[in-house]
Amino acid sequence: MLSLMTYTPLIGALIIMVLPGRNNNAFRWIALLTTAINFGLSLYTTLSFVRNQAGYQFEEKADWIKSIGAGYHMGVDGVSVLMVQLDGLLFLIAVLASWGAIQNRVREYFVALLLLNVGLVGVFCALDFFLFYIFWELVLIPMAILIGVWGGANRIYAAYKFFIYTLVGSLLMLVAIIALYFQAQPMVGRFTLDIVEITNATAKSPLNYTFQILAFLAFGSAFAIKVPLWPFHTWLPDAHTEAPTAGSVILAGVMLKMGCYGFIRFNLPLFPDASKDLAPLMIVLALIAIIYGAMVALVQPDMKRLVAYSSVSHMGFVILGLFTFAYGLGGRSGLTTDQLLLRNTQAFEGAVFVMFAHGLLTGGLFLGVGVVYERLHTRDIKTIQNTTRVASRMPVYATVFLLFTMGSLGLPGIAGFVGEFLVMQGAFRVNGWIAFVASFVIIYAAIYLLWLFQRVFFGKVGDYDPAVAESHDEHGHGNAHGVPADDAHSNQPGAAAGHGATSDPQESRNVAAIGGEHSGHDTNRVGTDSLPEAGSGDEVHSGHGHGHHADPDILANGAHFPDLNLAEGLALIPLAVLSIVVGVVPVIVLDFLTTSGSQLAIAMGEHSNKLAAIISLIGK
Amino acid sequence: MSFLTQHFAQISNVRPTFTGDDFIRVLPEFIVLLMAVLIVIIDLFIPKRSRPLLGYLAILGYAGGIVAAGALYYYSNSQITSFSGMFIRDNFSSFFEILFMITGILIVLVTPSYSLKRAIPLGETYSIQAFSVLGMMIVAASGDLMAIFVGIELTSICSYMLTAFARNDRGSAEGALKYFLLGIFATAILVYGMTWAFGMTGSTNLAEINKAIATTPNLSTDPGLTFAMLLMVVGFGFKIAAVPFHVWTPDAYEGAPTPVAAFMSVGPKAAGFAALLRVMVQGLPALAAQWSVILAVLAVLTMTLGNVVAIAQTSVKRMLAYSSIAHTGYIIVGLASYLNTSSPERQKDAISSVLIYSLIYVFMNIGAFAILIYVQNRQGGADVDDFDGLASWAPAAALAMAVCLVSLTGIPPTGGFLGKFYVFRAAIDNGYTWLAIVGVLNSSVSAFFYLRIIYTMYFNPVSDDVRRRLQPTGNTLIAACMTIACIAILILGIYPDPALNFARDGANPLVQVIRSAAGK
Repeated sequence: MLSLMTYTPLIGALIIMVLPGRNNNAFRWIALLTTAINFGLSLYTTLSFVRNQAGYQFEEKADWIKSIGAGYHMGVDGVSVLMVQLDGLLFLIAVLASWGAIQNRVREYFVALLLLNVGLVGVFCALDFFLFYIFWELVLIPMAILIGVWGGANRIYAAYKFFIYTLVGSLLMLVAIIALYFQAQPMVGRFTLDIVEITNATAKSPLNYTFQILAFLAFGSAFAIKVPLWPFHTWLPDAHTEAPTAGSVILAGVMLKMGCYGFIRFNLPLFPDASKDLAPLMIVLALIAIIYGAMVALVQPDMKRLVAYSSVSHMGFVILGLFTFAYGLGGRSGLTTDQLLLRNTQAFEGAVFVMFAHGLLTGGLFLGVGVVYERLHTRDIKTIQNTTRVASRMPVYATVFLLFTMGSLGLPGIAGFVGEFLVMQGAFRVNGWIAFVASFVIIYAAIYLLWLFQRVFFGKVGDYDPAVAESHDEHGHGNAHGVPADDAHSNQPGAAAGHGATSDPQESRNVAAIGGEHSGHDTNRVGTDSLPEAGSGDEVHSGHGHGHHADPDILANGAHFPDLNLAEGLALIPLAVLSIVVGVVPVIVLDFLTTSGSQLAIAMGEHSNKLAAIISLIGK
Repeated sequence: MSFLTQHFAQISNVRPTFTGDDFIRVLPEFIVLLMAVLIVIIDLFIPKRSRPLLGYLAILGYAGGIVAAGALYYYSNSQITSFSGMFIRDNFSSFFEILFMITGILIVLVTPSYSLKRAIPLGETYSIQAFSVLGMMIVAASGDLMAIFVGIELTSICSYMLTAFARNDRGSAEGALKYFLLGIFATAILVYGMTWAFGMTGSTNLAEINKAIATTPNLSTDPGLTFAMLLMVVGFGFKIAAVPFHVWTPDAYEGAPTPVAAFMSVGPKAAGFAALLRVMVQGLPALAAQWSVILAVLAVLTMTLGNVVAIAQTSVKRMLAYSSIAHTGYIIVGLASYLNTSSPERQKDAISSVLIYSLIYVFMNIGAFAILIYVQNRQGGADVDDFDGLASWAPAAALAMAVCLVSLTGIPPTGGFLGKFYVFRAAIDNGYTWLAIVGVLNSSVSAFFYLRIIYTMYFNPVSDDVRRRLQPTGNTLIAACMTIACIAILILGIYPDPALNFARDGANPLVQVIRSAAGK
């Protein structure tokens, strides 16, 4: 089942690779079908997952490379099944998001995207170190290619930085894996790379403390780079800024979770003592990430960069949750009871919930940025602000984007709130000051996200001039009903000059260039963007008509500027609905985590008692 | 003095005995020899235009040799010496013989398109290559310093000739001269070391040397023997191009015809490792421990210099030369970790890591060179710029090159990853975690220059004009070489079990030698 799910995209990629001809639509449909099957299988896995059962489910096990003890072992627990589900959903959406956006090298693009899907599903399902490492590295190449080929102007630099940065981390992890393999050998009784066997064996007889610390740092460096935790985050904004929209969605939505998942799957259960003792360090780094990410997001001029830094801030929350959970288990001088242990799993559940919610919401935000970029060919907040009022041109889109914004800043009722609340609660149990510092992020998030929304969607305050708007309304309306693009282009100089009277010439030149470029581009994609928004916007908001109001907006005269098209709507609206559903009924996600969390807590707690007993024995 | 004369007397008493079995045991060598001689003879009598057909004869010969070696490996697992201990037929020799003959086949596949274009005589090339392969096979299967020397010389002299084969090219002559002068210098040092070993122990037979060290008191700590080993390590260090004995490598590779550079970067290097293993493990295990740290330092120097200097190269050929130095470093890691342990099981892991890495390296390096030759034939140069937009005018070649380069970087699911995994595993197991960390850091450095080529192939634009000029022409032989290399890389990465078992079997005889020595 899991293997089928993992390799479905591989089959799709192979079909696209060998398909003759240059029919781009065929590639798109095959990719869509493949990811849809993948999504269906992940949905089936999630729904048939038994939530209150400890351990792994859907296990598949076979011998593989006997001479080094590597086996083929797949399986999911509560945490990974959520990640696999997120993965299936976001890849389906990523294919939709790249439907019209990718016009060159379509075949290669979808092959890379589907290979990425294989790697990402595999990472969350693999229960063998060798297999895990293969999937872990498999993710690297297609992502670097996605950034390097279909990215923005500075894409090569970003792809290189991304690749080298993550490669260094994962190679350190490789050394730690091999070292662990030898350390665990006496406990397991044979050479094995099986994650479950090693975890169980080391839970019974703890690993050497020094080794735990070193291995924690080696594994931790790989995961911290992936998360990314401050100060290892510098690759992320570059990668996001340059990546195509779908790449950003996958990067933020699923790939960052690989790091968090690594902490959950390896660092906490394998090195519990090191996790507890290094928890203060990790908590401090997480707090810095939270505050730093938010403060830097505040001053970003680029929409994507802003969302990228907000990711740094949110992922800091995940790490904060995980390590307040670990720290709480440490117990100050044996004060912890089983009761307390179990109650502290809130922080853990909160952390995983943030992972899930962040996948939905930040995925949505990046898609939203992509929609604006498609139309305006810029992500510079100031330029957009000076150019147009997006909200009045694209009301449906504005509403959906607002929802993601609100969710991301932690409005109750939307997914983002639940996780942050649980993490805060867990942090408060450990130390009130941690929660105090972390809570600042909510203020910051509100500032940078609302400010972003205001600038992008409502334009400049006070430049509304009805007279100018009236005189251009005729053109704008006509164009919306299908005036050929060439004609629209010929209107452009007049429009720019008309506006030039009210603003400085530099700016109007800039704007004219954007408009011109845009109308030229439009001729290429008549087929896709004439679709309406499928009526689905109505359930999210009400009352907005589609008629154009009188606008101060220069583009109204020259450019075709439609609201969401079918593919975009199909991508954005389910995400929005899902994040509301999860926000209102969080228990459907938390159910998956209760068992995993308490299992982990018990294992880690027992473990430290055992080590304490051994130490006291040796001490005597 | 009396000690020596006594030993000489013993040696002269040994009567050489040959039986039919002896000849069966050298069957692979015999087949390759026959093939080489046949090529020389037939080459004289057939018209020039049908000489490329000799390549098929060469492939047939190597394939026959592989079958013979495989049969010998399959049917006789035990270690048998022939020709008075000169020649050893065991799994170790079978492993390396097969590795060398695979190298031979791959090189024959890439040679014609390059040589025909530059009017390099084909018949001679094939036969000299075959003699060189024969020399390597003798090295791997020798149980005596004399035989090792003969094998090394046969290989080296053939390599000098092959390097100089592009007679009209100044670079070729220059490279050959440098290679030749430094090579004979190294050989002299090697021979000098061998004479010291003979002088100290009274025998050139590796097993006898081992026995003499074990039985003679204080011999293992004798500075004379240490000196002998030092000289031999320096000599072999030249052959495997370990830093600081690597200076000939970049010039020789750059000057040599590209197929020859591919050959030299793989064959003689692996032969050097085979000789090093034979001498160290079989002849001088008592001295092994003191060499561990020195080899570890050599490994660090070799990896680091190779990778760091490779970054600065603009010629892909020269870059591959430095990258081959770096890979020597990774293999030395396996050797150093062998020397650091006394547990037979761990030694076996370490030795088999050297073996499996050498095997994987054959495919990935010759694969990369094959595409370099393809590009060189079209573009005329071997610079990174010549790879501009390769993916758009020869997508299959670009994909194959990407697979080879990803494997050279050591990223799963390719064979290169398995090789590195195995080598670093041996290092960590034997107390060289720091060496493994240096190794992985070096791998990430190497990603810089390997990726640059992938990036050039896929992301750099190529003008329509150039593309029209470079219309991909089918080249069956190079395509076959690429296909074999890529499939082997992927199989070794995804299902390496058979190859790993083969390598472990290959390491077995050497470990048994240690075991029996320890028993005494």
